[in-house]
Amino acid sequence: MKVPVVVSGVGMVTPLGVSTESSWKAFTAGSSGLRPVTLFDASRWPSGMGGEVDTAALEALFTPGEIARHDRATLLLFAAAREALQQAGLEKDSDERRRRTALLLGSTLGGMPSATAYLRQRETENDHSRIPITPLREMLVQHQAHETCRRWGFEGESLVVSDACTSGTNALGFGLRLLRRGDADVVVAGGFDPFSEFSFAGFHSLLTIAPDVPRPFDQDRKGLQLGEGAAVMILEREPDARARGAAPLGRILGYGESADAHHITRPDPTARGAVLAIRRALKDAAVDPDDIDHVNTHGTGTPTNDAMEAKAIREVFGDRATRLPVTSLKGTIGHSLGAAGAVEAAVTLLSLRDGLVPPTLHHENLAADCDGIDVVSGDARRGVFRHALSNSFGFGGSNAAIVLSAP
Amino acid sequence: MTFAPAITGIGWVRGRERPNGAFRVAEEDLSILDSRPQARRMSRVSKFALAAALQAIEKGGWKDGPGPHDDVGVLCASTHMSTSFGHEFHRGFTGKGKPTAGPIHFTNGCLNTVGSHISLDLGLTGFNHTLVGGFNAGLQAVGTAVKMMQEGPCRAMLCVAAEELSDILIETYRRFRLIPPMAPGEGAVALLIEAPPFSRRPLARITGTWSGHGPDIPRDPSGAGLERAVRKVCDPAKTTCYSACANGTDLDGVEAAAVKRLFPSIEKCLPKKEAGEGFAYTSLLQIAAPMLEGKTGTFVAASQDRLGDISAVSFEVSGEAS
Repeated sequence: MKVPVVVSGVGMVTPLGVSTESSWKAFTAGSSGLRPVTLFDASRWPSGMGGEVDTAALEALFTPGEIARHDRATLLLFAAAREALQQAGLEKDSDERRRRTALLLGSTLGGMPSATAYLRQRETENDHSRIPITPLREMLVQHQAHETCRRWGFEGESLVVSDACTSGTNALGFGLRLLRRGDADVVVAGGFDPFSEFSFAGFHSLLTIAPDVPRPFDQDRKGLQLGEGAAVMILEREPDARARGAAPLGRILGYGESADAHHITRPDPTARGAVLAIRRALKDAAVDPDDIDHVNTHGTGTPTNDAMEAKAIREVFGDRATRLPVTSLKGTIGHSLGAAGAVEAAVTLLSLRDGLVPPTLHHENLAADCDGIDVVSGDARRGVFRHALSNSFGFGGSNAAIVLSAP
Repeated sequence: MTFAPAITGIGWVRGRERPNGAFRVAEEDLSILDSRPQARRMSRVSKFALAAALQAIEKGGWKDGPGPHDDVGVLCASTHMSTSFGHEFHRGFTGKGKPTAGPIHFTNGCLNTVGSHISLDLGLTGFNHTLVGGFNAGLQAVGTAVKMMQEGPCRAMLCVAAEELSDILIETYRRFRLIPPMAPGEGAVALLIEAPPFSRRPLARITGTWSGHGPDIPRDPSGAGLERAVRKVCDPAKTTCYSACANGTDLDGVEAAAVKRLFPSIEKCLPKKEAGEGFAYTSLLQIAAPMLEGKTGTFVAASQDRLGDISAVSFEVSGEAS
C-alpha cells in the first residue's frame, strides 16, 4: 500500500497577487491578471498583452541587495518557496531534516531575463569583457535550484525538470515518488518561470499568441497569452507530517505521465497520450474516473490543445464529462510555462479546500470541437469536491496529470 | 539496492580533440542520421543525442517495431542544450525592424526538444523527461531512470546526455576562468537501460545511485560530500575501478581528497581526457567509458558540480561493450 503524501505548505506568486490567498481571492472573483506588457518593449509584436507579476509588490518582499543580486526568476521562486515553508512551519528547520529535504523544480526558462539582458549588451558592446558576467550565473535553470538549496540549507537531491509546459506538474509527481520510496523526508516541489521577451518572441513566431485574450474552449479561441509566476508545495509523508503537528492542506494521491511521439510542438489530436497520462494518474491514485469531482485543465486557448484536451476528458470520463466542472486558469493569468502546472495544482488544492472552482475567464460559448465538457464560466462554482485532477500538456508531446484530494 | 536494472546498449557520439583544445563532433560521425532527412533541421545537440540513441538501440539489439511503445521512455540530461540555436533566435528578434526570429530556432532551442526528437523518431510514448543540471547531470539522470523503472510501468528507457559547443558558451566559460583549465567538449552518450527480466544480455548492472546537494566549491574543499555520495552507493573495499569527473580544474583536488580516503589504491578511469569537459554529457560518459574500454569489474562513478550537486552511481560490468 502506498504511503499517503500530504501538502503541508503552499506558496504562490501570480499576476493576481504575490501570495497564495491574494491570488486565490482574485481567481475566484473572476479578476484578470492580463495587462499591457511593461517588462520590455512589446510594440513590435502583434500582441502587447501578458500576465506579469506586479514588480513593485514582488520586490517589496526582498531587500535591495537581494533584488540587485538575483534574477526575476529567482525572486519569483524565493517568494513562493518562503511562503510555503513558513506555512509548513519549516522555514527554520533542524539540520537533520534539512539533510533529508529534497528540492524538485520545474522550469523552462530559468533566469532568461538575465540571459536576454546580457545578449543585448553583447550585441552593442564591442569589448565583451566590459559586460558584467555575474548575471550569467542566474541564466542556467539549475542556478535557481542551487540558490534555493543554499538559502534554506537543503541537502537532499536537487533536481530540475525542464519538460516545457508539464515541468511544474512533473516536479510535483517526481516529488510524490521520492517520498513514497523514502528517499527524502520533506520535498519542496514546484515550478517557476519569468515573463521573458525570448518566449514572447518564440510563441509569436509559432503563431500561437491570441490577438486579444485567451478564450479556453471557446468557439472564438485564437491562441494563448503568456504569463509568469511560481508555485511551491511542501510535501511530506502523512505520518511524518502529523507526528510533527503539521496540518495537511490536502493530499497528492497520484501522478501519471506519457509522451505523444507525434510532433515537436503540436499535441496528438487523437488525445491518445493525454488519455494515457490521465489514466495512469488515476490508477496511481487508486481512484476511478467516477471519483473525480473537478478537472483543472491545461486549457491554453489554442485551437489544437483545447480540442485535444476536451476529447481526452470525454474519453476518460464518458457521459459524466457533461456534468464534471472543468476550469482553465490561463484565461486569467496567461500561460506561465514551467510554473503553470504547479500553479494549477495549487489552485486545485484550494478548490478542494473551499469547495469552489474559479471561472474560466473569456469563455462564453463552448466550441463545437470541445463539446461534451462542462466549463465553469461567469462566476466561480460551489460544490463538494473530494478528488480533483490537474492536467498539463507540453511541447514535444509531454503529458502529465496529477490527482489531488481534500485533507 | 535489490532492484538492479541493466545497461544493454551504449551509444557514443564523440567530440575529437581539435588544435584549439576543444573536442568537437565531426559531421561524418553523424552518418547514422543520413536516413533521417528531418535531422537536417535539428540543432547539433539534438543530432548528437539522436545519433547516440540510435547507436544504443542498434548495439542493444533492439528489435521492437516503430511504436507506440507505452512502456519505454526517454530521459535526457543536459546543462546548456542548444545555445547556438537560442542565440540565433535571440539575434532574430532583437534586430531592427520586423522581427525575423524563426520558429525552428525557438522550438529547437527549447530544453526538452532533444528528448522529443528521440521520442518521436522511435515512437517511445512511455514518457519524455529532460533534466537540467551541471557536471553531475548525466549521473543524476541514471539515478532518476533507475527510480522510474522501479515504479513501473516502464520496462526500458533511453537515458541520454548531450551537449553542443558554441562560441558564446566557450566565451562565457572563458570569462568565468574555467576555460582553460577545462578543455570544452561536445557530444552525447546514450544508455539503453532495461528492467529485469532482460530481453538481452546485459553489459552492466546498475547497483546503486544517489544524488544530493552539498556545500558549493570552494567552501568545502575536503571532498566530504563526494565521499558521502560514494559510500551511499558502494562498498569501497569491493570496488575495482573509480570513474572520475576530473576535468583539470580546482574540483580535481576536491575529488582527489575524497578518492584518497575512499580507495587507498584503485584503478581509475579518466573519460574527460578523451572527451574534454562536456558537462552533463561527460558525466554519463563516466559510466559508459569503462565498458567502451572493455573493462570488467565493480565500478563507481561520482561527480560534484561547482554549484554543489553531487551524484554517484555504482555498476557491475560483466562483458564487453559491442
